[in-house]
This record gives sequence, structure tokens and C-alpha cells, in this order.
Amino acid sequence: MRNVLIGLAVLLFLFYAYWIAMNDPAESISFSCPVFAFTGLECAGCGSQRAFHDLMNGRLSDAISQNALLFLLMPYAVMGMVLRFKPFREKYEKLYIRLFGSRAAWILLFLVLAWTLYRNLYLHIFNH
Amino acid sequence: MKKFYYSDGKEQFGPFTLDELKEKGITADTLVWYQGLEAWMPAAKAPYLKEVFGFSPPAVMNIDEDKVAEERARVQPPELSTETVDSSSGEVNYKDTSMPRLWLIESILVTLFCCLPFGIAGIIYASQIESRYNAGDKEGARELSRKAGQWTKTGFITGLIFISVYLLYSSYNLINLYN
Repeated sequence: MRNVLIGLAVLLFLFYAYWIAMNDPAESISFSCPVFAFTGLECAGCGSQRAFHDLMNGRLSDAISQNALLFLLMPYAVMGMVLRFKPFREKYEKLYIRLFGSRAAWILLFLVLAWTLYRNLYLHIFNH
Repeated sequence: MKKFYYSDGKEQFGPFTLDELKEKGITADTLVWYQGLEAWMPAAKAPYLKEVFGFSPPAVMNIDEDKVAEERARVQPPELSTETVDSSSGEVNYKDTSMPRLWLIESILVTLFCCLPFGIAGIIYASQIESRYNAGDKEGARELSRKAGQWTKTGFITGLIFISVYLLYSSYNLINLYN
């Protein structure tokens, strides 16, 4: 049952990846993030689909310019998930606690809020 | 053959077969565990042993609930999943009393890909768990962890609902397009 679900998720993701590679989310119909849909504000994750689209088409710098924070936090999240797997869990426990502990939470909180303010105020009000 | 464990509240003993267990002087409120049981519980409450030992309702009534809860907190129950019981060696691993999970990675993912406010709430809870735990308030830390988990799950489900609604809406549009 669990394997079926994982398989289904992987299939869905592959389908989505193919679809997003072919269609620019800025132009075609695509998901909008709930926060943007309701408030019109760009949240910390907005631009992730555009970034993914650029990335799938091999335009790394365009992708980063869509949402720079994403390229900082995604490797971090993936690393955290890898470190949680059993073979790594015990070996790197101290590293895990240091990188994914409460202090990290404070830093992340600051980063996310600062990024949200920056992209909504600076990028949109002062630049336009 | 079912294997049984019992505990005096400090250490666990076992595995025993049922016959062996019968000779151990199990009383109504001796904590027991066997595979299939979610947590350690007094023998009088364990569905299977209750009948075998014939503990009568009055014995159950005599159990001091607070004491049982206290003992249960001290002897951490084994985790639910089957991987905690190594069936070949019969070894039981206990849920550790280590720091409860922070849900930090989940919160970050919810923040980025779904619902910023829910993710932020999760991160705020996560940021307090460690100090609370280190100050010795394990129960409080666990409570914070539970709340952090609630927010991230709420975010995750909200995201799923949003995507489903979106998919329904766009397929409705597509059908209209082709008609």
C-alpha cells in the first residue's frame, strides 16, 4: 500500500515535471499559490514553478532570479530528509541537531520573513 | 507463539511464553506488553492477558490511574510500527526519550510550496522546542512538537485541497473548451 502510494506520487511528479517543462507557468494555466491567490502578495515560495520551468529548460540563472531563496532552502531541505534516513541518522546525529535544531528555526524564520518583505516591498514598490 | 514482556516500572523482562509468564506473579497492575499491543499497559487492561489471568473488574477499578500514567511515562511504550520489534531476536526497542521532532523541514516545505502562514506557525513552534526540552520540560516540548506537527499537517492538507480544487476547475474548463 505504501509502495503504491509512493509510486503514484513519483508518477504524478514525473507527469508534472514534464508538463511544467513544456508549459511556461507564467503564460499558461498553472497553479497559483494559495497565498497569492487570496492576498495578491508574493509569499516566500512564489516563483517556484517558474523557476522549475526555467531549470527544466536549462536556464539556471533565470531560475535563480525567479526565487533565490528556493535555491538556498531546497538543498537544505533535501539534505535534512537524507540525514533522517536510518543509515545516516546515527552517524550524523550531531550535525542534524545543529543544522535542523531550534537555532536553525530562528534563522529560517528571519530569512523567510526578510525575503517576503524584500520581494514584496523592494522588488515591487520601489522598482516599479 | 506470542512473546510476552512485563516490567516492574524500571526494567523490562522477557520475552516469555505465556506459560512462563504465568509463573512470574503478574498482578492486575503489572505493566505488560506483547506484539499487537500499542503501549505498555496493566495486565488487567491488556485484552488477551485479562482473560488468561482472569482479572476481575474490581481489580481494574483498584488501579490508580495517575500511578499507571506515571509509570507508563517512565517506561516508554514501544513504537507502533513492526520494525521496532525484531521478530528474529525478539528484541524490543523503546521509543526514546530524546527530543521530540521539530517538524522543521516539513514547515519549510509548507512555507515555500503551500501556505506561508501555516509554515511560519510551524517554524515558530519548532524554534521553541529545543530550549524547552533542554530546560527539562519534556512534556511541554512534546506539546510544542505536537502543535508544530498540527500546523504542518494542516498546511499539507490545505495544499492538497487547493490542488484538487484547481485540477477539477481546470478539467472543467478543458471539457468546456472541447465541447
